[in-house]
Amino acid sequence: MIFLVVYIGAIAVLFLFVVMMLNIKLAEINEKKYRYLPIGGLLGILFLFEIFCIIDNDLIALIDSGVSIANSTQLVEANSSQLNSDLLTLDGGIAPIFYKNLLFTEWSELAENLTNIQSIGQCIYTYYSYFFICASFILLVAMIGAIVLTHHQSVYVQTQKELFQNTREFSKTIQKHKGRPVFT
Amino acid sequence: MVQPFPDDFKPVLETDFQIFLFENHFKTVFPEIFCLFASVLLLIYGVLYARIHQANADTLRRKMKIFPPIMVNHVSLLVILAFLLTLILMFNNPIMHATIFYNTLVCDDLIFFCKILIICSALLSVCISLDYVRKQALNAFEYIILLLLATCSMLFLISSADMISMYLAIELQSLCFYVLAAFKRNSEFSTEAGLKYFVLGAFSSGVLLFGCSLIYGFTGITNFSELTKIFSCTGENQHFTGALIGMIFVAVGFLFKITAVPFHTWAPDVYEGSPTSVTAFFAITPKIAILGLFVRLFESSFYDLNTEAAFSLQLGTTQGVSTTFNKLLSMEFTSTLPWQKIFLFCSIASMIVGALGAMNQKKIKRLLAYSSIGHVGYFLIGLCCGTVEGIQALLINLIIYLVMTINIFAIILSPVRRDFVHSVQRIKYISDLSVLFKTNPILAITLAVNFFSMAGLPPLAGFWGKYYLLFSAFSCELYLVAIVGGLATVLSCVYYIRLVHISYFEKIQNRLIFERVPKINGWILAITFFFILFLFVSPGATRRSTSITRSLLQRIEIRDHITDRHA
Repeated sequence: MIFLVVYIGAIAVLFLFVVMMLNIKLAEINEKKYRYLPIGGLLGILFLFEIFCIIDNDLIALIDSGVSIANSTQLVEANSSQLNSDLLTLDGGIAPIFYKNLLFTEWSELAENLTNIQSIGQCIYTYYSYFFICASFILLVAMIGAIVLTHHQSVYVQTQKELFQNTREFSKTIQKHKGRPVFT
Repeated sequence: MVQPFPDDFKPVLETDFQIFLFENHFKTVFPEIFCLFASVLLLIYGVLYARIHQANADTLRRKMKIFPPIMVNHVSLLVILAFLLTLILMFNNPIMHATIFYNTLVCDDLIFFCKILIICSALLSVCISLDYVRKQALNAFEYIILLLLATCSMLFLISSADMISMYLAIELQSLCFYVLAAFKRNSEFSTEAGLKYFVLGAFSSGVLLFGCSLIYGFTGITNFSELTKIFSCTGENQHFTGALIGMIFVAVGFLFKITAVPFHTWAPDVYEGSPTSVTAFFAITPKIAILGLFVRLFESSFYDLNTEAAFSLQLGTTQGVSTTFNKLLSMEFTSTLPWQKIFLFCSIASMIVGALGAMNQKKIKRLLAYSSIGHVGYFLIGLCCGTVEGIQALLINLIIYLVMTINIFAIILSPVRRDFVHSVQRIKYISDLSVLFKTNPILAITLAVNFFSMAGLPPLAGFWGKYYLLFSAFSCELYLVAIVGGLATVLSCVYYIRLVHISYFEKIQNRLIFERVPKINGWILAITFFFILFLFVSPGATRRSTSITRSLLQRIEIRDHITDRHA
């Protein structure tokens, strides 16, 4: 729970930062607020209409509505009661023994437990490795693009010279000048 | 009462992944793998070379200016080499027909053909822009590597057999394109083009993904071939309205990318703003990839989705609207398939808007953008037909369009010396062409022939493309679209011939001189010019070359046999 709170807090702060960074003037927004409303509203209503069409047509059970759920449950109950009566009518001792010695197998114990990440990994590194590689190339292109579009190759670059810094001797960093001080 | 399972009875649950998983699969996509590796290696090479150069410069002259090394030339030559090697690998590929990587990629003859076209067009567009890139000082080798990556992604796009692989490939391609459009950072036009392309492209990708998710939600399937099977079983009472809306969204997402008309508004701005070499690439290559994918998606996967009878029965509420819509467009629409309606509308609208929009343009790149919108309209005719003849006409037209566009961009990318505005050392306005005949008559003849061909005047190549397309449209009784296509050709003649008129007869308006055309541009110009001029000697050649679509043909015949629709 505490992780969730921290996470949401962090995301909220991140959003605030982004909003702060954006240079949006409130007046501009107000001016263009209703400009695209008619066409946007029309398209939205059309879209909603389509979605309602789907809901009416496709999002119903495949079973014919004549056989309702109530009917089907009754059917199941009838079957089970018949089964019970059959078992009871079996001669004396057999039915209880049958129930007593019934072996149950807990299949859930036998199944290998995998976390979500593990199961995704098992898919994505084996059968769907192509998707994984493709996604990695998308990220590579995003990186190249970000660098190309924002990196300034200026001429006067002050680069760090590792060799020069590492080979600098400690004793020679501060030197005592003999004679009069040199001001440049 | 729970009894533990006996130990020796426990099945072995570890999976052995040393099995034949993808044993031969990498051989099938060897050209693509080579292409990807080449791009990554060239990227590493570029970065290291720049670093080493800088380090050397540091040690040699510490206080001097350190310029970044000019690498775009030799990296682009290496990329051309990589394209050539990919072509060779493609032709020598041992496995031509396969479904690989767990049903995510597929190879067959149609895909092979489209891949060859894509690589050729990318290769040629790099070749013609070599000189331009040098002159414009687009001094970043990443430009050419992004081109290579975009081409790879298109190869993957065309051979994808699954919604997810399709989406990933198209995202990779679009991301490369956004960066390429904004590549000239110091130009405001280019940044605007990049931003516009990014916003609208991201939106269209979202629409596409929404469509895919709707289809997945209502069928539970992302694979194309399985979609074919499930949709071919739709009878009178069964219907997939949800999947239909998903299909519409997928179509809209792709029509955005291909600049068909209701979704075309970004195209002129992006084409104008991005560097001309990138425009040349945009104008040709992605269209081939997406149209190839269209053929596979709509001629096989969505082909049987909700035939008209089932459609109008189920959407009882919208029936009134749909019938008036049908009457509005044409009578023959009543017998068309749902996906055909979308493409028929887009095709007619693209042809008309492409022809009318180009009339009033002053800048040559905007004009070519509208011209390409018009051409997309013609391509969609071939797609609408839904017959093998239509697909063949589409592929023939793709070859001819590729050749014509390469030719025109080779002319536009040729260097120009301008007296007053030194920053614009290339053809920008239409009026710049007025000096063409006086300074470079051979180039003027090439331009004139190319524009006549694009307009569709009889003996030239462009005529044959349109001839096959309109013929196939007539043969499957799409009269309206064929007639509009013919009329749009007449309309588009006006602005194509106006350009020829400007280049030959008008007074010189702008003071500029055409410089010597670079050698490689010259060769490409000559070859494409001869192709355009002499195709009429044997127009069947292109038709024969597209006969490798016979596997697709067989598939469609089998499907028609099964579903017993569409003679």
